Amino acid sequence: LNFHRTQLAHALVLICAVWASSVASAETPLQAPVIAGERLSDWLNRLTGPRADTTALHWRAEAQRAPQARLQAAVLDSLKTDPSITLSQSERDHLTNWLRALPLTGRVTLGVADAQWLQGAPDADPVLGDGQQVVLFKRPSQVAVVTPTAAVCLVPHVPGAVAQNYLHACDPTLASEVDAAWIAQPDGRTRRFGIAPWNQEAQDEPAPGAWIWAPPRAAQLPESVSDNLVRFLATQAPAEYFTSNMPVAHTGQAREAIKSVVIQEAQRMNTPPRPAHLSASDWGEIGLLQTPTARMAPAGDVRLKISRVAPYTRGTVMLQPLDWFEVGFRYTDISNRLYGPSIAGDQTNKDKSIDLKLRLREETQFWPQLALGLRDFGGTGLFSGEYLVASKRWGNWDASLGLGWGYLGARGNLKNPFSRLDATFNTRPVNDVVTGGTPATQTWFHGPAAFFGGVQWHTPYDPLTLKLEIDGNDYQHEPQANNQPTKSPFNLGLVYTYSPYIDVSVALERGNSLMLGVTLHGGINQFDAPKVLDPELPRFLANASATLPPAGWGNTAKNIQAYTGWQVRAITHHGATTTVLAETDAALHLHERVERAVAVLHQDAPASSRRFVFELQERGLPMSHLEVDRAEWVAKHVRPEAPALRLPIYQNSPGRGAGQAVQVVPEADPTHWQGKRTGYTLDLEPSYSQSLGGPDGFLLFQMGAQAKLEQRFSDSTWLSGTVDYRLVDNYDKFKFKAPSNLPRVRTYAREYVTTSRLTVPLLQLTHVSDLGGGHYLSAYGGLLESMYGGIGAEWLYRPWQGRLAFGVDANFVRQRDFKQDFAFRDYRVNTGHASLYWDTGWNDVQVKLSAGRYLAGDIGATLDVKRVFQNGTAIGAWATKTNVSAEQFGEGSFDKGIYVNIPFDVMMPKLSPSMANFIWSPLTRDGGARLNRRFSLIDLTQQRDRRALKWRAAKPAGLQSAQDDSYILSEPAPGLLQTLGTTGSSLVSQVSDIPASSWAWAGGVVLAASLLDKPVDNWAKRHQTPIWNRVGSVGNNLPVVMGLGTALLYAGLAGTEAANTAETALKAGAYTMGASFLTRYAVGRARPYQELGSSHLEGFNNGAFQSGFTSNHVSLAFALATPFAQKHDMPWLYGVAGLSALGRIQTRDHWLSDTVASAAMGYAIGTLVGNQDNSDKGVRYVVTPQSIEANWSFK
Amino acid sequence: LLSSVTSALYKERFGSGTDATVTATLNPAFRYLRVSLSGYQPALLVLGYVDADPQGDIEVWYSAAKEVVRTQQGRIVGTAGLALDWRRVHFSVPPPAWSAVTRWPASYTRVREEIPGYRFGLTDNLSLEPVAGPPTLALSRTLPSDVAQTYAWYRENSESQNLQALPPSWFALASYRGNLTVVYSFQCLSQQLCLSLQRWPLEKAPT
Repeated sequence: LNFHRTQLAHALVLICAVWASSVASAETPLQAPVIAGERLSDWLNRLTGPRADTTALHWRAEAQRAPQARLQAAVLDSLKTDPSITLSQSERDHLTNWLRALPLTGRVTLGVADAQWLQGAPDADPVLGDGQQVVLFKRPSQVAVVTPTAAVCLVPHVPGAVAQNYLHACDPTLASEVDAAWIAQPDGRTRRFGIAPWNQEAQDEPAPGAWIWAPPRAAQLPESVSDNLVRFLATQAPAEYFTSNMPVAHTGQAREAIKSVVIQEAQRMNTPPRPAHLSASDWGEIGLLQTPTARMAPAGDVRLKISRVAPYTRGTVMLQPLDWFEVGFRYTDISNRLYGPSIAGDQTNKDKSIDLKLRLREETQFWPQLALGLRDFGGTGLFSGEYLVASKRWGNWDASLGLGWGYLGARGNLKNPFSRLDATFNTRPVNDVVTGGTPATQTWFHGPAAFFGGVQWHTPYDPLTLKLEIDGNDYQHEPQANNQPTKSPFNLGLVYTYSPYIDVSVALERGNSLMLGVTLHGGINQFDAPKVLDPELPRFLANASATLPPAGWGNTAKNIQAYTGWQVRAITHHGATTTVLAETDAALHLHERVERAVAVLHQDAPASSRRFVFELQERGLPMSHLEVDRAEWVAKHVRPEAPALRLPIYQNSPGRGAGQAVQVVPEADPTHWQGKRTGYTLDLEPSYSQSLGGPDGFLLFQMGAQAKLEQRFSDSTWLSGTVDYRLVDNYDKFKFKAPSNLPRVRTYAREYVTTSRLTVPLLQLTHVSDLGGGHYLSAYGGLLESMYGGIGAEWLYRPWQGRLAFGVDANFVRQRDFKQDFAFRDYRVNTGHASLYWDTGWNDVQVKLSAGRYLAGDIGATLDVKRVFQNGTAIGAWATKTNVSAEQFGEGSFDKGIYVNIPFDVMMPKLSPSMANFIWSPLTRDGGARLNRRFSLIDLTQQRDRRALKWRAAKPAGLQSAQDDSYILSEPAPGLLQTLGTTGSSLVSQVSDIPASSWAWAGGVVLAASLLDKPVDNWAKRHQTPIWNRVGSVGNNLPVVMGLGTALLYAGLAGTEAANTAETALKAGAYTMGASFLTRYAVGRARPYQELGSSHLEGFNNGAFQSGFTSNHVSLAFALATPFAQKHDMPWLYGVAGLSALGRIQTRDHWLSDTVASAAMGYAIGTLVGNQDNSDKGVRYVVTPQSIEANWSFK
Repeated sequence: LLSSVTSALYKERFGSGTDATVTATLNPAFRYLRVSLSGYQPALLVLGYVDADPQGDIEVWYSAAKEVVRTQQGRIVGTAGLALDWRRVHFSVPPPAWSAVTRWPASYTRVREEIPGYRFGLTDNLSLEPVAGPPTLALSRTLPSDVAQTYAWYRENSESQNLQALPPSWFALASYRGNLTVVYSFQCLSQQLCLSLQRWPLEKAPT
């Protein structure tokens, strides 16, 4: 490889040398001195006239050289020291020497380099002065390709040509060795594009004067290094203007020759490069027709697919919370089967299902993308199926091949490959259709299998894609004896992209059936709505008035309220500071509102006010103390500043007892204004609610009108009420009584919605209080929701901008009368939860874990996980498991659901604090039911979130001047999962190094312990008392608690050192579990409670995974404890882990010798994995856009 | 919120559509260009500069939203600040004078630079021909048909070897402030982005 690349470098140099007649004699750029204080537009008008070609105009600031020097140094450092880069030493030297010799220009980007446009956009038109320079290069004509050997190949610009055409012109071999190209355009902007057939994207053309950096994949250059490098190149003059450190320019003849190659290559491409065309299958996931592919939509994508192929009509909602994870739910209508005459009359059958798909591996040049998916895994399983599928792309062609089980593999023409492990995989057990809801893991990947797959072709006519597949199902094993005649295993169809958000699909399936489908799709993380219905912001004037606002601060307060929705309580002007005390409205998009408030204040505040302070409170709770540097804010609007010279505009800190800011002041004092507290508000609005997929009708709905009243007694005490009147509904169909085995805490839904048209869903008195130090309290009482009334209280601890928060709520509630008036039923319950809120910092995922007592008196926990995007939209899911058995719970087995949150701010043409919540819960049952409390403290305190000022609508960025492009990217530190592989291989090596004597000692101890197996088990038999059972229960649950604790420490709860140890412990735990499972499979020892004796061994069968030697609990407990015990001198942790052994013995799950062997295994693996980390010495640098962190470790 | 959004949508869809450009108070010292884009509120641009050029004066129009449109003999020869800009336009073969195009189509070539996408050197082969009467496409509501009938209309067709051709452009010439000028045009910057440009206020032809 190195030989090859060196040859290439030499060849390039040779080619250039032949073409070149002399060293580039670049024309001198226009570089006239600036006049201090003049604008760039003035400079251009003065020296070039208004219509100069500014394709390669440089605005340079001396201050920007320092960050660019750091960027250059970071690139050089990576090239020199990054062990993953496979360049030879001479190649590294060539490249680093060339890069080192490039000048530090201090270039700063410009929005639009058009003098006449700049005159109308002062915020983009720099004010020139000392340390600033403008350089105008004559219109470049060439594109420069930089190779890893720093051989720069100059190619004449060809309209329509893309990066790979230029690479090909420089060297055809190089073009085929590159996966991605980075382009630095002559205006200083950079982007990365996939250019190989497998990752091709729509591409910006390299403009004349552009640089292309395209390292061969074999060089294994981290993307962060290339990104840094190309941003540094973007600061440089066009290559043809280099007078030194640049090889050659071409003669006219050579230029024409190489240009003709680019033209030929550009013409050879029938269509411009396009990204892979992603479209939904009939089932809603990204796929072909009936079959899925391994492709994934980008994170944030939400899709509604409706397809019809007789006898099935499927409506599927698919969500893409993460780039590698797709989840969704579906309703299937089976038109030739009835729901069931006893409960649903002549309604056709409806089936609910949940799907998910995980990307296991991303596509590379040689390897396909790989995904694993489950269809209908959470419902009654009528259409349940599993699949493993691989997809490989070649330009406009994308082929997939998969293996399906269950419905997807119903053709069954392939013996289940897992049957080699265990014959039970040959048969697919019948799913439990009574309760459903629980993942039917016993059926997964069982039964006959079938290949499926196909190909799609994105035609040159851009909206059209053709699909051909072979179906894994022959429709001769359909659920409900609904087999379908089939003429062909092939399905052929097309997808027509009507608009970026609507696809229409048509297909011939099974050789005899027509399929029609429509898909609505889009990224909720891209939502943005221009606020055209809001009043226009005050006209910005750079110069402020010298006097106080003539209309008084009261008018200012009124305007702030009109533009933001805040209730301004007071404005004071003292010295150089103007302070606004305002009550916010819980809106998520705080930054937009702050910007508007500053605009109003800037219009009114006198010039003497250099600092604006916003004391923001939420329901009387002090939230934020936000200081605004007025001069910086003004500067942002009147001129672009080099990033190195900019100062922060906002300083945000915890609210400072806002109540103190409200002072009684003389009414005549013009420097103060104090508003009156709002007494009450009344809103009238339409109401609507619905339920889908019930036995009485697919859609049951009601529409009406509701009045919402709020009476404020003080900032922190208020009464909220809602009166609703149902006007239109179809509840005459609503007959289903939803029988339940539990107290009917939620299944009286029919009675609640049908008994009375006039209802009072809410009448609640609430008081909240700030206890200081991040502690908050609320107390409330009244009609808390439509089904319950009572009293309750909540305490929350939420540190300022912390990742963790913790709260407890306790409620005494009584079930309300069905009329939803002021009467109550007899049922009453104490319910409440302790809740942990964790902003993981990983992929914007937030977790809420609540444990406590639910409405039916059941005890359990709810896990709620959501991905929150930058614009505040979120995709999440929850599941609740309580001590109610699946049989008691009824259909669905446990409470669960999926939801999408969308702030009104991103979809309405007017600011609004409301949030749209779309919730899908397959069934409403009584187990795991929670009180629907209003005004939770975690919502009221959202300004304490570290992202509070960062939520904003996904507006197109546009071209802005003075963007900060000198940041340094680094590769993300490898995560736990990424390091598992290397840890594992090291572990194998370490285990092989263990001396035989150690193995002998360990074996001897286990054997010795086995002598005590029966006496100890006899002890356990004698100690099956409630007290000992509790001890056993504690011991059994201990590994779970230790695992959760370790995970929290890994998240950084107790600092970096503990996090590192936790990572070691988690890795040790993972390997120990693997080792334990393998040992079980090999040994297959019977457990004590089976009464087969301690020497009954039956390994190497599927059931052996459930056998007793070794104990997963004990081995895991020791594996987790050992790294902490050894690194942090905490030997008592072994005692804690030992408790789990006691528990397993007491419950007669394990023999004593099982636990001894398990403890030894956990201890050994914990020690060995810990030793791996101890070997890590020296300094490690972590570079982020904001900081460079150096970590030293010593041994 | 719901009422204001519903009301705005209703007005937009079914209402008479208050056109701020019609009711705007104009400064007689300035010259205006009314620009409308299908589905959006029209805007008034004000003339900022007239730059001398061998192929005819270039008029530089400014909007209140930091947008610039340059026209030369009524043709768009540059924009800045739009979602899609023609940064630079030049005619390698200059277009003929309007009065020179009588019976046969005249051909010329336009080379332009388009942002975003950094598409430099896009070449359109254009042909211009006079047509009898206004075009069949929907004209702006601010151009009464009786007035449109009085204009001299031209259609400019676009062809390109490796580009999707732009929709035809339409130009209406009439006497404006004493000169034969393009007073109304329909021009597309891309397949999707088409603008109607009208000298404002409307000057009715002398009867």
